[in-house]
Amino acid sequence: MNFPALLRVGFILSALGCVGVGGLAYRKAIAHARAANYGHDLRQLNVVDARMNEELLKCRSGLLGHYDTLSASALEQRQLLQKLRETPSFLDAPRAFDIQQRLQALARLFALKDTRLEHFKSNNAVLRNSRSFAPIAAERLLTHVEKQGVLAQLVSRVLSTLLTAATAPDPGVSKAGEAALDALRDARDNAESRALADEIDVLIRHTAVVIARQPVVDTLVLEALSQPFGRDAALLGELYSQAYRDALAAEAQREKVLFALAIAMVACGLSDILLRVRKGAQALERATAELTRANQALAKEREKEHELGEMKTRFVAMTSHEFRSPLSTVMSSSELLSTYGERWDGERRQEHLGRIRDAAHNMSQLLDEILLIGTAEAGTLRPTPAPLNLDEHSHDLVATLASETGRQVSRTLSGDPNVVLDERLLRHLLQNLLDNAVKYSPPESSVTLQIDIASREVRFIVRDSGIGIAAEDLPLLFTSFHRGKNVGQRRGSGLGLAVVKRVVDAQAGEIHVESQLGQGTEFRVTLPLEARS
Amino acid sequence: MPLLGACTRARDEPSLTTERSLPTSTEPILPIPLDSGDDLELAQLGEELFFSPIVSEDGRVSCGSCHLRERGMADGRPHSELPGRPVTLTNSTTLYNLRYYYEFGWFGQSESLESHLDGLIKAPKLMASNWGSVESRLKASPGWVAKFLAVFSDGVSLTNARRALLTFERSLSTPNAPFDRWLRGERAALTPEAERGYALFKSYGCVSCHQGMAVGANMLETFGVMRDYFRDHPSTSDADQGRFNTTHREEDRHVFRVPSLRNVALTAPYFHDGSAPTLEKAIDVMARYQLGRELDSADVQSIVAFLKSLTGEYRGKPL
Repeated sequence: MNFPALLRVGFILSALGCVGVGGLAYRKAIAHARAANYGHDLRQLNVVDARMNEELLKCRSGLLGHYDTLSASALEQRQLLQKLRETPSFLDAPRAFDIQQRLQALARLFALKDTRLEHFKSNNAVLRNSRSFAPIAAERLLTHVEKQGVLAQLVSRVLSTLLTAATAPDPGVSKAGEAALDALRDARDNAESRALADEIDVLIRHTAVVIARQPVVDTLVLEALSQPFGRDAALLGELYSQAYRDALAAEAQREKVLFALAIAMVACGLSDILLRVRKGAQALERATAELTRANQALAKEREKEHELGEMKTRFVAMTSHEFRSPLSTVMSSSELLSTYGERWDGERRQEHLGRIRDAAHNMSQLLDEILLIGTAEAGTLRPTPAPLNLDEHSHDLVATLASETGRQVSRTLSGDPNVVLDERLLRHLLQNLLDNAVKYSPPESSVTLQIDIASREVRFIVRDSGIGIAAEDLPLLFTSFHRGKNVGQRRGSGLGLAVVKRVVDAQAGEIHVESQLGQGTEFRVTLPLEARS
Repeated sequence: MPLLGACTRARDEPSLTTERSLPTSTEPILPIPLDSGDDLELAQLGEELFFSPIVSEDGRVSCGSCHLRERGMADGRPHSELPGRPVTLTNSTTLYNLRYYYEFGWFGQSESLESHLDGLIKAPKLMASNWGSVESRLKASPGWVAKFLAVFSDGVSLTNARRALLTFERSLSTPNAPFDRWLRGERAALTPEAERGYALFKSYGCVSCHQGMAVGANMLETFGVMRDYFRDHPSTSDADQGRFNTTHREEDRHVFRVPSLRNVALTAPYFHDGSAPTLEKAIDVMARYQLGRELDSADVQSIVAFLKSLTGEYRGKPL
């Protein structure tokens, strides 16, 4: 799998992971405010219980003269327990069940305490009433009796019982109190007046209440205080905190995984996008380069076309120029002949007729070469090979050259001279090379034509000891109408070597030139031979 | 008098306020807060419901049938006589200041105002209805629908009706009684006789039960602690059995909620059976059966003067 495909797979996998873990996180999400409130309420159970105990003690000791705060705390605890029944949803079933069980136990404990508190209030109210009124009743009684009398002593015994009962409650005090009360009851029954009996009765009643209710109230207070409610509530709070911490840790873990997956998703996605962008940029670059190349090619084509046009213009100009001089020769000689022919002698007439003939011959040759170049340029120059004897052919050429120019060309030939070649093209080739060799070399120097015939090819070497070709002329050697710098006054059209090159090319041959300025030139032409049948 | 020393000390020391908004004071009675922060719009709707017979199944009685404004939100009669219903067993109590109560009903049978109200709506001898039925009747009345929509976005619902009634009942607080002003340090708010009455109220032990902000209503007590009331006044109805009616526990026989003494001067007759037509009579009975003593008339008058100083203001106007 290649890299971009891996990236895409990574992106899809992490996106799927994100969805999965995100769904799980959503399903298990903790309603933090609710969870925190629940924890707070749980802790509050203990706080309210402690406050309730404090208020209970205050009411018991008389530091607090009303039960509003105690009742308010009990109400608050009742409401808290009611509210806590609904556990937060993040708790798993066993934990929620455990917490609910413990809450129910706490609610039972509280119900017990609540009942005790109600009994405490009822009993404490009566106790307080009697405890505060009994000394007043005793004082009032004392105003009616002899200070040192038996009754006064009884009253003081009762008073000390009351005092002890309030400060050090124990069964011994109750017993002593009961004994004092019995004695007091006897005194009441034997009272000298109804009014005195009533006063004694009031004291008896209130003292009896204190003796009876003080232990009841103290027991209620002790029972309420010794309840394990606070401890159990604290334990429950701790249990819940642990559950909450566990849930938070799990949530943090999920968030971490989610975060990592999201990062992976973004990284894969971004890399994929970057890769695509880069690929796009590369394609654009390639397209631009191609366009540039196409534009350059187009420009080159246009330049070539332009050059070709120029070349044609030049060609036409040169051609017309080359035709002008033989034509003017024809025109002037024929005019002279028509004007003076009658009066001229036969020799002179022959001379002008000869000029006309030479000019026509030149023009015909020129035309021949121009046509051949044209055919080659058009790509339609097709050789028509035929059996040919190279020995005879070359001999005729050398002989014709000798008769026309008076220069002898030394000719060597090796191999079987019977070949198959286009005779017309071969004539153009050798005639031009030999003509040039003769034209650009001193009259007395030698010109050689060497022909080596092998089975698959034939090589022609034309060598002279002439003026040579300048190195700077070599690149343009085969261009039409181009002539070397050192040709001087020698006549020529500049078409010969252009024809040679095209003829060689038309026969799939090769041409090499070696030349030294002032030393001579050697042309080597190799033409492939068709297998002789 | 040594006990009056305690009163003057309270005046010298401004009362502290705890975080639970209940003022701590060395005095056993606390002044009612001046501002209760009620939702007056909701209370207004609740008030209309309170005085409308629409809450009863037969449409013949309203909450206001037993809690008359001109009678201190009580009935004024020993027992209420309602159309189509037997005479009530207990005396109708005032609803003023019930937001400061911790016990509801003569027998302390309800732990909260909410559950007490629910009980009254269902009680066969009272409203004989239920909230669902109340809701249907309200929804059938365009007038009520409009009134509810003006207060609640969701209009009539049993929750909203219940909330409105509860809000009204809780708004019935009567702060700024002369005694509360005195507690807050306004010495001239109490007459010397009332001040003496308060001292007696404490020294005789009345304050053992009648304490707190509501001067009662936060505890239960046996009727006849020092003497057997019901031996001297043979029982005439089940109501005399008190809390026993609710719990069926022997220890709860003749146990009653200690009633609030706020605005007590306006809510005669007194006791669960309305058997005391005057404050004097009620004080006599209480002194004899709860405190185990006889009071002379001068002391009774002083205590009456003190109790009259517990009459407060409702919505800024003295009751």
